[in-house]
Amino acid sequence: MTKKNNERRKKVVPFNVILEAKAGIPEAIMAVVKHYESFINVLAQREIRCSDGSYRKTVDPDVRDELLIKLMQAIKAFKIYMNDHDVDI
Amino acid sequence: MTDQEYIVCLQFDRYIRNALANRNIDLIRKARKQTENETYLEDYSEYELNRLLSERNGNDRMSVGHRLQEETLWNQELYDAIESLSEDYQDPIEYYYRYGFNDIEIAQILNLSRKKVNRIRKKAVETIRKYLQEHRDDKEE
Repeated sequence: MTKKNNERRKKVVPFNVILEAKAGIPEAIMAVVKHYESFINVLAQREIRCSDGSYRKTVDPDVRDELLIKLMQAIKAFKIYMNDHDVDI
Repeated sequence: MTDQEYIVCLQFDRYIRNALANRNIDLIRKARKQTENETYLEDYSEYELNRLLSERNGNDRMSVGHRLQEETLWNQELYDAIESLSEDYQDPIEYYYRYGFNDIEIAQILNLSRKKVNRIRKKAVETIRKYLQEHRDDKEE
């Protein structure tokens, strides 16, 4: 693998972190949560009506919490297939 | 990181993003359903508010203050009606309507059977209804 090839790659969660997160190691899960924090914050934006009648976009804390729960579930539910067979941790 | 591991990482990324986006859509739909029938109080003018509040009485000219006063008076009547019941009848009523216990829970608290609690409750409501009816008739006369 060349250096150039590495640079072109998308920024993703490292493979060993995924394995550790799936195994339930808190530090790894926190790393995954940190990686997707900004994405969750974008998704959790909702229009809130102010007292003067105008609308404002803010991050809804309830929605953010719901999405964080979903993230935990998804980490656990993700199945790794390598060489056409299931890698189970 | 080997190519294969990188592919797994990409799959993981896509899987997580899809899961989060779908959950978000679910939440948006849920919120929309909830707010469909909601309106804001600021959207109403004072006249509309008064009309809404007095709708149940069929009186268009009643103000909010009047309506509140009437409500308080009515609550006082209800309170008197409950007070007029014997203690055996008061407790189930209070537990059921004020604290939100169900018949089985009240039966456990008061050491009675569920059937008995149900019967007492129905009888008490009937008595209260009669009391209020009589009270109103007296007032009208």
